[in-house]
Amino acid sequence: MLRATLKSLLGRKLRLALSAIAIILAVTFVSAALVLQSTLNRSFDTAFNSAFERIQLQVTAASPLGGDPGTAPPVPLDDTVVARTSGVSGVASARGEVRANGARIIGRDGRVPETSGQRIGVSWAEGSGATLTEGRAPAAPGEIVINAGLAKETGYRVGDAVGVLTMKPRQQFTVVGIATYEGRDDLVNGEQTISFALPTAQELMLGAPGAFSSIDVRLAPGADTGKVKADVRNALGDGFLVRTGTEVAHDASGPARGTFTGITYVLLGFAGVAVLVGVFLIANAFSIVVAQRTKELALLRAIGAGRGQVRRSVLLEALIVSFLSWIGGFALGLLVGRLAASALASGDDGVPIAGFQLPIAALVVSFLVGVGVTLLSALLPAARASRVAPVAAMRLTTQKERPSKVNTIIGAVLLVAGAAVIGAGLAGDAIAAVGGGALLTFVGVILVTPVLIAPVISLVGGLTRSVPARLGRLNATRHPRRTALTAVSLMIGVMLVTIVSTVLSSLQSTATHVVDANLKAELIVNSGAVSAGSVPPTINPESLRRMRELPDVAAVAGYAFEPAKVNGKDDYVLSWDDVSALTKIASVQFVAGGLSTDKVLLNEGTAKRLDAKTGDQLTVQLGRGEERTLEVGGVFGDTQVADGIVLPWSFASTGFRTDQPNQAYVKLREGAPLTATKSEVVALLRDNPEVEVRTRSELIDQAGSAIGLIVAVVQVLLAVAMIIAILGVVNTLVLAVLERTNEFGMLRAIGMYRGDVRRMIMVESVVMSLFGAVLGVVLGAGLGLALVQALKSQGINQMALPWQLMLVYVVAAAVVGVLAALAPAGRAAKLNILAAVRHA
Amino acid sequence: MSVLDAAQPAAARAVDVWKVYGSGETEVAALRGITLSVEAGKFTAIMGPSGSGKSTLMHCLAGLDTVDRGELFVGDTTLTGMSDKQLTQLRRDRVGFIFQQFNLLPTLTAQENILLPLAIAGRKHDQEWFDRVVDTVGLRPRLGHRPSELSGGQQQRVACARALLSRPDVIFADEPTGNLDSRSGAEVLSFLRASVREFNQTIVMVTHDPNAASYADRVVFLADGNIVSEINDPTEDVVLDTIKQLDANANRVMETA
Ligand SMILES: Nc1ncnc2c1ncn2[C@@H]1O[C@H](COP(=O)(O)OP(=O)(O)O)[C@@H](O)[C@H]1O
Ligand SMILES: [Mg+2]
Repeated sequence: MLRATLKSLLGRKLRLALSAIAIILAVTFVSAALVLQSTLNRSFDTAFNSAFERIQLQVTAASPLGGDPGTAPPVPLDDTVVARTSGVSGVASARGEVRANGARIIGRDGRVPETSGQRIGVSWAEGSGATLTEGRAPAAPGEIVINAGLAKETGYRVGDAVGVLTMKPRQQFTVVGIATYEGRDDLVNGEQTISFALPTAQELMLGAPGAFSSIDVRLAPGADTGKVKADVRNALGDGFLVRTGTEVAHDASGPARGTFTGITYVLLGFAGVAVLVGVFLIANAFSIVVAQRTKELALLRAIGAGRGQVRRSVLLEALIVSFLSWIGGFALGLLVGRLAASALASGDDGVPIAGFQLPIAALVVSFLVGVGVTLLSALLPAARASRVAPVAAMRLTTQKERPSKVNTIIGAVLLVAGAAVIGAGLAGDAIAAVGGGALLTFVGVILVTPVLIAPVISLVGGLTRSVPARLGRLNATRHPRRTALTAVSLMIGVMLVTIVSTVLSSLQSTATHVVDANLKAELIVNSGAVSAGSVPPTINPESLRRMRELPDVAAVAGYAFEPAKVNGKDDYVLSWDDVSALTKIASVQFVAGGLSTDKVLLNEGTAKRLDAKTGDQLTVQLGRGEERTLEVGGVFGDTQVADGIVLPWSFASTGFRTDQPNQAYVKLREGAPLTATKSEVVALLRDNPEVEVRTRSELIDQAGSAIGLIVAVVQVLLAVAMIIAILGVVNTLVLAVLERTNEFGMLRAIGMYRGDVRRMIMVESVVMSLFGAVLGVVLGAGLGLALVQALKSQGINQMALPWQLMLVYVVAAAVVGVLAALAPAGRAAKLNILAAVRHA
Repeated sequence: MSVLDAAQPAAARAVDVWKVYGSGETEVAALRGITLSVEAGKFTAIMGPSGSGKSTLMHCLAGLDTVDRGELFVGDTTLTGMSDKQLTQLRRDRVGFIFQQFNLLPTLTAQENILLPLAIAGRKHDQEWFDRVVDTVGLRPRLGHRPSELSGGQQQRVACARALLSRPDVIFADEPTGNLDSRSGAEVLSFLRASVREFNQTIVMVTHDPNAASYADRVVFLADGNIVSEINDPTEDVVLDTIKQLDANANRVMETA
């Protein structure tokens, strides 16, 4: 049996090559994603570990909001904590220091230089690990030392005057020195470090003179780290974190790693799609193999092979193909993963790529994907093969294929059930139910597809007038199950991108609608995307004050937004520096209470969520300071531009990271010239390089361009899915050409041109692809709209279908059809007529 | 080509035609200088042992294959040197073909199959002629059926009707009854003869069956790529005798060799 299997394997190289490519693609994506992730993780751990090697123990105050110590804003500690720490036995010295994210140097071009790392402001201290390579330590308030990497990036040298943004607005400093750290050129991951004299750091980075962000603890010789750590924690009591260097390193590397997690997810998403589409391709490929081998299998059965042997022979074939493909795909994945890792890590100088290590997770997962999924996909065809009757060997023609009744009924039931579950989920605001319903609908559609083929394709009958086109269209309906599997593999990709595009286009339409309907301000001051690990931009309150004095400006509202705990739960809060401007910049209308400078304001949706009404008390804990209880002073109708928990500025400015707003909205006077006023506003913001001034239409464009990026990524995903789907279409067509060889011979004999034969197969291919694409677009749009409806509570309240993109997807599918048909059609057109007629 | 040749009413002609397959050791000369003139409006049968070159001759005459030497004509048109496109056009407009099997497209109804060559050529059919042909083959009640719903004999009759519909200069049929039982075979043969008698259609048919050959006006016998004998207005017995005679001759040649 093994010999027979191997022989038949080699006999159908093309079909197996196509399945193999699908398996290789899926395995490559999966293993590349996992290898990338593990390589980056190890690289970052190694790099951060060596950067924080010097730390023995570090004491910080726990953030009152909890959360990741790597990203939470520092909470000031005072002298007494330092004193208590140094009193613990085993502690040789405890030194208070300042180290906080958010020191942003302004480059020669007037902008803050890009980095995927943090922008850290520290207090200079001898023995902190920093070594001067040039100049001297900062002593006076106006002096700083910058790290060598930053000096290289900005071109600043000792003696240069530079602007730096901190918790306070831009201030001028003189670079007095350039430092490196622990024998390295730089801190890890392109981190930008600015060292101030201690009092300056305390004031600018913590906003609290005499306070520290952390305590650097040196151990007495021979002291046990674990024991001292426990003792320090006991001595300090609750509210403090005591971490070893390794722990600090791990927490610090979190945000850096986070930057790359997204890329891993995208790759895993591609892998998922590749697997999903691959399942159908592989199932189809093996059904075709079985169909082609029917005679051979029947012959084997006739000479005494058992059912089990026949089934195993098909599965063995699947096993051999998938195992070889897995090895190839895994090797490719290793390579791609490592190349991607070094490309990503070295892009931001400072992270040397970790050494090679066999990634066990990637090995196991990709094996399951490659070999496991293939075997599962081949199970059904194998079962069908074992049912081949020995007499089939004697039958001349293959039997006509009909869609399975049972499958159709199950599919229809699933479809109805799926729609019902989606409906119920939407009514009950249960997103999980909507997702489950979508899955049921998807499976249902796959099962009913074979019966849809004939009626749907005959709908386009009018378009296929010429004889070759008509014959091609009819041929596409000849094997409904085969056509269905092929079309579904194309459908999946199109469906996924249509879902995403529908949600995004609804999002954009919502943004447009909200800006049009509820935003009254003509100018918006904000930043582009905020890069990971950095702090939000700041706007100098003085700039806003002067803006308010401009003759053409009617009102300005500065805005800040931060995480907080409200009534003990994680939440977000916002605040306006001038709450009286709120009704001027947005369509805010109170349904209860009114504007207030010392009470909380809520929009109706948030009030409902918090179950609060005017006069109720809310407890609010911000990132810094004590928890406070505030009264709800007013509730306003939802606007989507100013919605949320609005705190009094007096409270927010003490508990937020800084007392500077991060956005601002500007309302112009009636008849004020937009362009001219914008220029004036831009001029006033010269010292705030992180923000830009946008008009309303530019704001909408900004939302659109963020969405455009996601759409682009999703379209790459579609391309991947389409490449795999092309293989499926080719597969099906090659078989069709083989099966119909004598028909082509006959048609050529009675006078069909070569070109017509080619056209006939092109049409068959395009019809099949279009069928899949239309199915995908319709299903995707339906599920996308359901998802939008489900996301209504998240603020997407406008439904919009991405008509243009949907059209593009359908056209792309038609192109796929044409491309897939090229080789099979060429082959059919070149057939020798006589050989074709004789072909049995 | 002499003036005399041109004066003869030939629907198709082969003049000193050679066809060699393969080369060297495996070289096979399927046709060895055959000259044959197919009379217009006559039913010609070609007989001969397996491998004698019957199919090859017919394929070459029908423009499905090319020859190595000699000249082929359909009517007055020479096939020599025609491009694939020209040959296709010739087959489409001036030649009809009936194969032993696989004549029909399973996706089309009988009527659509009959009209297929005209549809491919983008020509309109003559309804009166269509009706006459359909009635002659007795397919009227079956026009809407697909090939899978027709018997083998009915399928061959559809193929005959298809070949006839474009009124080609000549119809070639390669063992059209080879896969049929004798009754269905007789129906198809009667129909072929009827179309010669009634519609003045020229037909060339390859067959193994002396009974089938007896439907023809003339039987040409092939052996080893050459014409070895020929009879007009054959009966089954005469054909059988001729075959016996030829076999005996062949054996004698073998024995003396
Ligand atoms: N495509 C081909 N390649 C090689 N030899 C061929 C080919 N077609 C026919 N022949 C040979 O040519 C000879 C004549 O074949 P054919 O015309 O099919 O004979 P018939 O139809 O009388 O049985 C035979 O010997 C056959 O083997
Ligand atoms: Mg023959």
